[in-house]
Amino acid sequence: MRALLATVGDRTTRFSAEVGRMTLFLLRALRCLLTALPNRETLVEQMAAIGAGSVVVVSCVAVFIGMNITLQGYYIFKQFGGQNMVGILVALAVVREMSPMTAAAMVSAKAGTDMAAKLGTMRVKQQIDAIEVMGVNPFWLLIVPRIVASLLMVPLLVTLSNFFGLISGYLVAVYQLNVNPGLYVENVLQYVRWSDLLKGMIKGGVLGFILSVVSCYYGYYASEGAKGVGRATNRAVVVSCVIGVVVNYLMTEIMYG
Amino acid sequence: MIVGFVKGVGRIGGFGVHTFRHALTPPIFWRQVVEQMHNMCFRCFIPVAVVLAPLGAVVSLQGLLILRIFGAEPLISSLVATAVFRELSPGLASHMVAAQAGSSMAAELGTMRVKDEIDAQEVMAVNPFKYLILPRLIAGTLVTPLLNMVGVTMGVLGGYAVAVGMRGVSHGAFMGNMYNFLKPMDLVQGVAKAAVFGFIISLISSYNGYHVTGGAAGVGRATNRSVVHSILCILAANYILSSFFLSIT
Amino acid sequence: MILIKDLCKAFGDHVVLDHINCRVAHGKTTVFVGPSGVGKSVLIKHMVGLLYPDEGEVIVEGKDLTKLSERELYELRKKFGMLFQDAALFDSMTVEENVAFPLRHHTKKSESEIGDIVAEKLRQVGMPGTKEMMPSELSGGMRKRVGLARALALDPEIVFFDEPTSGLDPVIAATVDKLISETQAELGKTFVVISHDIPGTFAIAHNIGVLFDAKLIEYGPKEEIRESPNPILRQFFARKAEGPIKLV
Repeated sequence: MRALLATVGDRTTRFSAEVGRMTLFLLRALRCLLTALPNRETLVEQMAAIGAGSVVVVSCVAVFIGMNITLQGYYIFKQFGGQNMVGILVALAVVREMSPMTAAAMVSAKAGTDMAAKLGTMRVKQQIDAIEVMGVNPFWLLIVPRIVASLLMVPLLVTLSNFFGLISGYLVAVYQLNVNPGLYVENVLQYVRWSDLLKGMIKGGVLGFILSVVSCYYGYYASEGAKGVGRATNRAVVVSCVIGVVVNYLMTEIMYG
Repeated sequence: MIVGFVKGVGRIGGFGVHTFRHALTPPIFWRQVVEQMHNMCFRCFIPVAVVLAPLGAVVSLQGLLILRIFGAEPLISSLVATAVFRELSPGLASHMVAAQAGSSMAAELGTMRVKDEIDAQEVMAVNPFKYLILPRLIAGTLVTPLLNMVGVTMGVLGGYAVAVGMRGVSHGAFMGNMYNFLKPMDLVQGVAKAAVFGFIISLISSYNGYHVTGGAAGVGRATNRSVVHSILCILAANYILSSFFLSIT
Repeated sequence: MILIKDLCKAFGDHVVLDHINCRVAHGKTTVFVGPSGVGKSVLIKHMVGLLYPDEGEVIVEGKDLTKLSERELYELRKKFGMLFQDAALFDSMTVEENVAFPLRHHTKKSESEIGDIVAEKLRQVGMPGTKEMMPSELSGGMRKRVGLARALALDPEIVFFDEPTSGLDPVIAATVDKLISETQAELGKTFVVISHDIPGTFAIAHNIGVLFDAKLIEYGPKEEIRESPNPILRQFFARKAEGPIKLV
């Protein structure tokens, strides 16, 4: 029993220490972001990496999930005879929740792990120390550009996801489930507002910010050797997901509650 | 790119079949299976639990807004339960398993490959397919459904917390409607999906880890690739399975 | 130059540096030696501000590092150059881009001026014509030379070396030692080295500091240290397995 309490206490202490360190990391990044324009070269390179690197994955995921939402939604709505109005569910589910979450999740799985791996490898090879000693701020050079790139690109990917999700939903609804095409389109156009689209992009931006800060954090503090880098990339994805999901709930409450 | 994709699927399929053949002949290293299962449970439990609860809450929140259009708010528990049981829990639990356990499998096997440990095993006449790969496949297939159960519980709890705790839906209405529309088939569907997804994750991750080239950087690449490919395959399989299950209910 | 006053540093329960006091002379090569893991790396990291002491002061070029703001520290670091253990070159950049890095970030020099300076530094370290190569194409010894060229790019006042000859075969180690001696003689700047390579230390040092058991047990000119009757030094320099230094 005492051993269990000791473990719990130990875990809690380490967890709080981690939270503290991440907060300090975030503050340092914000201070750097607000006092100087990030390194332009890295920024452009990262925007391309995140954007181009994630386009295919985000589109594929949007297609699949759009199809599934339509499928499941149809049978749920059938319970109360509303199956022809499934367009409403698809439109709102895709735009308000699915696109921001899956765009961020895919960027985290791909670009986020790259950030953690690259920074982790640099840390382990003392390259970040070298940058510091040469009088250059590694946050300015490496980290803030990644955060800004993520902040800018994820909302664009959210829009891409909306597009593919709604279209794949249409195809499933009309060709597999025999929903009236005109009704589907009308439902989508009637129930999706500009504010929904904007809120989705804002969510994407916030989630993009979170995933990049978390991924860079784990890379920056990677411990020795290849194993340390591996652990950093692992943590980056999982912790981004967890924090992202919780923040998404809070944003949904604020925006729609 | 399509040709490459098909080839890749073929190779992974061959890898899977080869492993199965080893499942049919003794010995089966049950100790390794248990160890892998233990690792997976340990590593994935908290991420799955912590991710599903807010998602259930979000479904509840948005679901109420949508059902209000039809005046069908009391059905919220049906919507939450169906969404969680059929899609969200299998999907998100596997996403976390892919990110946490899948990447570990790829990293461990990849590092072993790079350090020649797999070759060393073969020379010592221990078949790596029996000792390393098969246990991971079995563990993945068995543990993911268990984690799915955890996810389902947390998802419904999250939905309940919002609907009953914050939006004034009555406890009775919530619980009553949930069991109205929840069929045994939904439970089966969740378990089946989770098992399939777990299998896919373990297969892809083991394959990528086993075939690593290029040192530590190669291990990193294999790990990243496993997570992304697993997720995409899961989504494709999910659509197929959903269509199948919906057509038979 | 560098003044260390009562420097104390511990990691958890493990005391790594215990009231270190010394004055690194200007314009000379000072080498800190000691058994592995004794804290030499930790000491040198304090001198460049990568670590902060639990107690004590680190005063470099008249400025107390513990009291500087981030911007002031970065400003001061423009006077430093540091060669890390495996050179810490940037993998995605060519040799030229690596050496030019501090120039591009801290000076407003034109591209052609930078190109000239890079060529000069590479020539100085014996690596002419390697501008377009990638770090992965270089051997360990070559990487160190490029790393030194990068460290010298801004003509620093103080150059730090973290175990410059570790991992090199004796012949290449000797050439690196020669490079360090000659460069120091030519530039007349302050060089601070940490090492556990004994012959190399005596080849390049003007002053030697010996770290043992978290303390600086000896510090002085090379000849004094070489003649010292201290049994710890006798064991360390004679490379003997028996003596006051025990394997932990």
